[in-house]
Amino acid sequence: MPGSNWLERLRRSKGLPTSDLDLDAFISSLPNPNPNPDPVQPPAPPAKPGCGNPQVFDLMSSVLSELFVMNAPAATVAEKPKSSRKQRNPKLCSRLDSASASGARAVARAPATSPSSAENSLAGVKKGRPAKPRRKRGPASSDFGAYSRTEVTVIDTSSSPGWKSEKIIFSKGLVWKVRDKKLWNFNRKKRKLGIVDKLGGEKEKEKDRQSLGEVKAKAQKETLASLEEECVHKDNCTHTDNRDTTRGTQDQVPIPKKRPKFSRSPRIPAAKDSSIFRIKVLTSKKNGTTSTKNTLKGK
Amino acid sequence: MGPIRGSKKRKRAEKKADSNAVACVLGDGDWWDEFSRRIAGPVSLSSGTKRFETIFKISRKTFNYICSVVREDLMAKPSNLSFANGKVLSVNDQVAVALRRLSSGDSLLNVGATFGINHSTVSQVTWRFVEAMEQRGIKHLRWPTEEETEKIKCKFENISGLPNCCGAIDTTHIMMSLSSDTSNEVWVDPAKKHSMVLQAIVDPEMKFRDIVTGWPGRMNNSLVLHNSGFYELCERGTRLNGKKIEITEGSEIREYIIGNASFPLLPWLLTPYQGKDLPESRAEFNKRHFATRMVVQRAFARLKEVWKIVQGEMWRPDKHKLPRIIFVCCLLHNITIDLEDEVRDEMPLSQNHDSGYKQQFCDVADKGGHALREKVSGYLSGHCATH
Repeated sequence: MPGSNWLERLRRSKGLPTSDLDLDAFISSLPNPNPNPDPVQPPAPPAKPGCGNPQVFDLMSSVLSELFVMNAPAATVAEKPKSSRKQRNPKLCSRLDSASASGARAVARAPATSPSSAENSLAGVKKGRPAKPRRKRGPASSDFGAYSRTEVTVIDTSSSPGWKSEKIIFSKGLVWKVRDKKLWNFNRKKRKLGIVDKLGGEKEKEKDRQSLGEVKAKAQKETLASLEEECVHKDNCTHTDNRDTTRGTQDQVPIPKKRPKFSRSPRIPAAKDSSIFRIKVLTSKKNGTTSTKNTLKGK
Repeated sequence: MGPIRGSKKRKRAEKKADSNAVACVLGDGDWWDEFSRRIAGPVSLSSGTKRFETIFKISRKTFNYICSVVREDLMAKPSNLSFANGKVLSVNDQVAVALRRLSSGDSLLNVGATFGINHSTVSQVTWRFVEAMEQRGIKHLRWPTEEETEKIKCKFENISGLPNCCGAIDTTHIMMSLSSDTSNEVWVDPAKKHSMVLQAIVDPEMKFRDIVTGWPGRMNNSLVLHNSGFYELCERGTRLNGKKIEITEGSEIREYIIGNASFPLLPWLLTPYQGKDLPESRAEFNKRHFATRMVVQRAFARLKEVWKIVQGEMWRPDKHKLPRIIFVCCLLHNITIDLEDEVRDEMPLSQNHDSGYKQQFCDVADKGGHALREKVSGYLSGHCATH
């Protein structure tokens, strides 16, 4: 019998006598018979080479498992990867546990250390994703919480889009951050346009949307590239002697270098040389979720 | 159903606008005679031909030009602005009221009392004028064309010999009277006063060629410059990129502006040498640099002297409106220069625009800036030796 081997092993593992046992009688005599072990067990024999007639067994087991899916699908599907993964890479699992306990740094490392199988890497990304924004937002939001926010209207006769603009100043002690208020205005404009467009034709509506999107994307690029300046303000302006070094300090805004690792996500192409990557890096500095959305829209 | 809300008001406004238009069509021949009769208070004591200039600090010719600039905008908006006796304010009346408010810096109540108008009308008239001016008068404040730049360079060289200089930059503080609330801390400047910054680049005729305003007083000069459009254009190489002058074979001096020690030394912005016991050539450069820079200090002093609204501490001003008022005052300052207003020639020249403020220092220095300063310094000492 092809199934004798696994049956014997099962019996042995359960401490039952391997022979002289009527299986049907034994099962019927049990107070709480569980039908699941049978469909779960069949995948085990192929793992062991040297079984008699394994192809027939595979066929049978697959048919059986398909049939049993109707009864208990969640149990079979969910248990399969969990059990195999734990058995195959027990050390990895323990490391992940410790990593998640130790904090975000280790969580960020998890996708990189995970096995190369797509399932595992995706699992890593999925696990990493909620952790990453937490890590990103944590210091950023706490920083902005500490900053005092001031809205100003600035007249600049050399400013390229228009001589009048609204800016937001975040200041904390000697540190100043200047942001353009345009990003917020765009949303308001869009809403207003939307109401007006209801009266207009559909084509005009689309045109407006496109142009607005283009302008929005352009303005975002310009704004994000030109702004985001962190300047140290002192009464006597005691900067370093070399201007280049000062520039360096001004550009020392935390850039998420680990970002590319997450480009394995199926949604985001892993194009490293494209402007998308650059914009994403910049947007992540400001306001992760919303800006990224806008960038993708603009694209 | 009752009438639509505000329709009566609108009708009345339209009626008044029509009569307003009629008043304008009649011309301003007798305007001043009639208007001057309304003037009350200490201002009314002035008499003679100079009365107009005393009140408005500009000549009648300049006044008429300003009226022509804003006439269209002021007439386009229907208004119910009137004197206390119910007479509708003509364009000239509106311009006169606004100019008096900007030039005297008096409170709305005082200006209203002078002309027999409600203080809220003074406020509305002034703001309408500011909005019209900033739209229509922008041509009076712009970076010079290539042709104009050449003239500017010549004039600067005539002042104290600086070759290829295109402007002088400086910053002044516009005072504000704010509460000592923590939300206003950002407006507290190094002199512990609440203020707004005005940065300007000025030509040899004391005309503003580029301004930046609206930043809080706590921002220092280099930071305001760093956030300006002018800085961006210069760094990009699209400004101050005109003709270079060859001083010796293979050695050229590019276009640049000059500023005091509170600004960084850049390839397009020259600051004076720092330290004592400087070599003769450097001391000579500093001397000429200082003399040339005087134009921007005088321009600020003149601006604050004539348009007192930017000199006097404004009582809790709208911080979004104040930059626009400052901008319009700069436009008016330039208009008087463009029209060669004789009133400005009669005023004494002062250079104190920011009394009570200590000199700021900025140690940021670019290698290109160092090299250009050395070249200019060398050129000046060589030039002096030959003459």
